[in-house]
Amino acid sequence: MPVASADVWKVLYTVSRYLFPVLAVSLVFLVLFFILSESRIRREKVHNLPGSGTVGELIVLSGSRDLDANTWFPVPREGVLGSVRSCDLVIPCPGVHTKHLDFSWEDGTGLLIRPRTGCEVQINGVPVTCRTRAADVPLTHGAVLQVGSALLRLHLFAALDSTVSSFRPFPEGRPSCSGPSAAFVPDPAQSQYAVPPVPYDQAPVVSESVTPSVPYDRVPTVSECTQSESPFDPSATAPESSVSDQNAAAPLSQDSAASPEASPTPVRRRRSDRWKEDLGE
Amino acid sequence: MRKHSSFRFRVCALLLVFYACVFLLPACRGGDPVLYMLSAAVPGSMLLLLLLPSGLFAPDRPSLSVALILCGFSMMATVYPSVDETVSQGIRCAAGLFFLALGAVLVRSFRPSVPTAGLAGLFGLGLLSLPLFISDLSFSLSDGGMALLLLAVSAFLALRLRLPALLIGLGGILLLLFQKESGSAVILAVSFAAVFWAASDSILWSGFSLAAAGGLFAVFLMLPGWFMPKDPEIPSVLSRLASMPLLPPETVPEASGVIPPDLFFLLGEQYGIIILLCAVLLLMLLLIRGASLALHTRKSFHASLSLVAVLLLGLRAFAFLACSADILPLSAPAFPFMTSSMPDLFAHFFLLGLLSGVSARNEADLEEDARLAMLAR
Repeated sequence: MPVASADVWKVLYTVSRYLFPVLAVSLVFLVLFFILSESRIRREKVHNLPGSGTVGELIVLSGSRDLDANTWFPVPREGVLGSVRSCDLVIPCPGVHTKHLDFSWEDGTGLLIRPRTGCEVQINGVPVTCRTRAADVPLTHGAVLQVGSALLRLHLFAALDSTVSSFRPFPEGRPSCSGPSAAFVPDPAQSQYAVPPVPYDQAPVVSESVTPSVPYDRVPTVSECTQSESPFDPSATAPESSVSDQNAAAPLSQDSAASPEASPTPVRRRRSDRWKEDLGE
Repeated sequence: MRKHSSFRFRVCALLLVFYACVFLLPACRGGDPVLYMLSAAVPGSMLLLLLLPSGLFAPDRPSLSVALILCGFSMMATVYPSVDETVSQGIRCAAGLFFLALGAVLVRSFRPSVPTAGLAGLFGLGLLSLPLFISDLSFSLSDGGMALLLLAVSAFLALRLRLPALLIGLGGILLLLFQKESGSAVILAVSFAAVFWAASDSILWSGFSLAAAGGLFAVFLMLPGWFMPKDPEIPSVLSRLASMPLLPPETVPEASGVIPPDLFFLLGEQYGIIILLCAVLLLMLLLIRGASLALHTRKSFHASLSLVAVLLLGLRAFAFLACSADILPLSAPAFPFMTSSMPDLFAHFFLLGLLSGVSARNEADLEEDARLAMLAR
């Protein structure tokens, strides 16, 4: 049964002729603002977590003329390493192909390295080709990756280390860890994040072949670095690597923060900073 | 966070007012109890979906709100011609939500591996080849099949297995060409080439895939009787737009009882061109949202999935408009979310589910990062 009389309904219908398009257009604008606000919220979240999406950093122990030692690269969870700038990790060194290898993070295993056809890398001195199963030779904390003439060391973030299945905390009494892996966002390029690390009561998993001879809470001296017992000794192939090792741990080390004169630390440079310089030139 | 919530609530409030008015107005005229029920049920269920806390599957609320508005538009279009059809369309849309959840859960649980990718590819090919075995099939499952095929292609490409991805994609195009579904074949070929180019990271393979898809089309175009141009009796979009009013017509549309499968132009005839433009703009917003989700993913597989969803929905809308405007000489496919074809509607909700799943994954990744940051401190 009709609720409104014919005249009332006619008025209502006439109003609706203008109201419906206005409401529909308003809906479009509100949805647009809704999408924009969602994006803004996401941007803010990511801004508050500068290391978001990365699992650690690759530190150059030995590079080339275009790639200084101590340059560090934030490592995303998945990507391509090569010599061209479209790659996620750009290593402009002799022997590095345009797209040399694919890498992906796998929880509980580490960074899986898959060299492309015709490319070869070494992980802690072990040759890896496209025929090698990536899960057999994962890149774990402290492991050294040789790509072409470049030597790179992986530093994982501490919290990610605890996701490794083989993770075993040190028994009581062992020194706590406060190395570079103890901070989640080790971005030395941004001073606000370069805070002294808080002692970390669980040690990260270290690749077996590069087990450090010094505790995590201390920066190794040059002599300790050169006396490395690792089967793959970067110092043997790279003269700068001993210094690089020291520098790699320096920005977040309590020792170096306390006495900068005692152990002068060259400034570590992010690769993207060099791009800006290149573009400026 | 407060601003973010306020926009969500504003959208919900406006949806409530808009759809309550849309169904109450004809209800006041005829006193149909079904319309009264719809005026409460449609905005109420939309409100529930947009405001419920994300539990089993976390829907991407901006995309979901766009899809719900478009579904509401498709129901609006049938209110004056046939109330029964409005109820049927509402039931179809409600059933489509199951496929939305399915897509979202699939993304969250699917891990690219050879068996899972192969299974998805086989299902996709099976759906596409169904009309070859059942000749009197009254509906098309090509949309769902294409979505599953491209899911398989994305999974294979994430595993760096380009040859199986290429074979599956070309198999799907071939099946569609055999069934003379030229429009769907074009959409699949373009989507396949785009996903291959984005995910394979190889110009050689991308070029090869494009050449292979183009070669298939060239072969079929040379076959006599294969190419079926658009029926000349169907008026073009320009002539239809010329007959449509800018605002809803001054006289109340009468109940005709006959509902065309294409609800897009029916909406224009009932409510004017402005509402049609709003529908197109809303779909564009959905595509932009999908593209931004693809950019924020951490895994190439999830980026490919978002790309698949965006491409299939976007190309379908583009093909609909291009075919209706006689730019493409093919039969127009349905406009996303505004069709009375149930399999097509389910496929569109499934694609939206893929987007929702990727969005949920992105959010989970950010939360995980925040948790790790807390652990490291």
